[in-house]
Amino acid sequence: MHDEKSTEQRLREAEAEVRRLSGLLEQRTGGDQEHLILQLERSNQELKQFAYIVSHDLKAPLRAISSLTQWIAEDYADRFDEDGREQLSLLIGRVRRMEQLIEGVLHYSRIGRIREEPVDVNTNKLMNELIVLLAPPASIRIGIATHLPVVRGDKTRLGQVFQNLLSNAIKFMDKPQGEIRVDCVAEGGMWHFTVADNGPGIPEKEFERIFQIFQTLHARDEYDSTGIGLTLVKKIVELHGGQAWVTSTLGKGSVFHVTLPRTTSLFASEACDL
Amino acid sequence: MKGTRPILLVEDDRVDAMTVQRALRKIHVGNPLTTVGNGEDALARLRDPENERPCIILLDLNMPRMNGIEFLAAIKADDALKKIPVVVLTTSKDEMDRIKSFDNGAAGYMVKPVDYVQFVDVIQTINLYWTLSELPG
Repeated sequence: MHDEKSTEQRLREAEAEVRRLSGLLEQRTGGDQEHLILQLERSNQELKQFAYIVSHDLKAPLRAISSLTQWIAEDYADRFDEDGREQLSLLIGRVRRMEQLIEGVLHYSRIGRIREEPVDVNTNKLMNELIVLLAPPASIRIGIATHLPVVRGDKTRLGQVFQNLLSNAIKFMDKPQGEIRVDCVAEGGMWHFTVADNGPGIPEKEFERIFQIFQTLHARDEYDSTGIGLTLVKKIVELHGGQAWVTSTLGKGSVFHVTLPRTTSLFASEACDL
Repeated sequence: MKGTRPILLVEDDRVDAMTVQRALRKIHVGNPLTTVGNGEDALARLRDPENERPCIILLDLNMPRMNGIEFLAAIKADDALKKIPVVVLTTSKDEMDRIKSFDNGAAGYMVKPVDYVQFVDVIQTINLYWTLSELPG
């Protein structure tokens, strides 16, 4: 029964199926190929359908739970003691989290399905826009290398990559003076970006796991996090032909690495207004 | 809403119908609310001369029997009913649902928020607009 599988498992299986069929497709020709295309289309269709079911069918009962809880809290406020009120407020909090998780799955499934035309993205300008958007507290300084390159890709998605990395660095900062630094060097055919922080750091055994969907290092109540951000980062970067990983020293900070193909040799400072 | 004519809610989910009813009461909308569970029942009700014509129709899209889009197409093809504004109230953010709704003459498209307090805001906005907007007699 499929019902017992987790959302993540199902998504992974569906994706693996699409990848498997794409692989087979490359190997074969003729009538076989036609059959495979058909299967591929069906898998794709199922994946799309899945996103819709998640959005609609799971959200409808969730909305009902949210409403009924709020009404009980409003209508019977005087009949609850403090414990009862706390349980109700925890319940409402969990409903919100569930909604964020559903939205996360939808975001994840939309990447790769909906693609924008690739454009030249001035990453220097992008970082400055993101810093304004994220409005870090005065105790955190974000330094940006002067020579960040122009890369080619989907501007919204690439913005999401760096927004997630920067907002994580801000969110988990545990030092009174936070330092975040964005750099980039050319390495062969790739640009190698780094987002480094002097935050808590990540144990080595978690380096892989943090990129998996819905995985967080902290109790969900400690930080408001769904565990979708780094999964999106990895998927977007891979779709652009690059890689994403982390290196870290516990207690001293983390460095998130992102590589993207060097399609242009321009540095943003040399480029015209992109 | 403008005047005293009833509001027709086409919605199959009981809690969603309760949500609209409760939100209308909370913001002191005086117009009576009638609820039906699908497009067919809504059309039958609208075509029965015994019933007062509603000032506005709030329409869910995902319903059994006749769904929201089919209902929109049917009501806009009916000269006697096509002037009643229909506001879609749905969970779907799907681009195709939005396109089909406006292609079929929807007067608005609102996504139901999960959070009840935000839901009340949505109903408040619909109410304000349709209190200010003039309607054909």
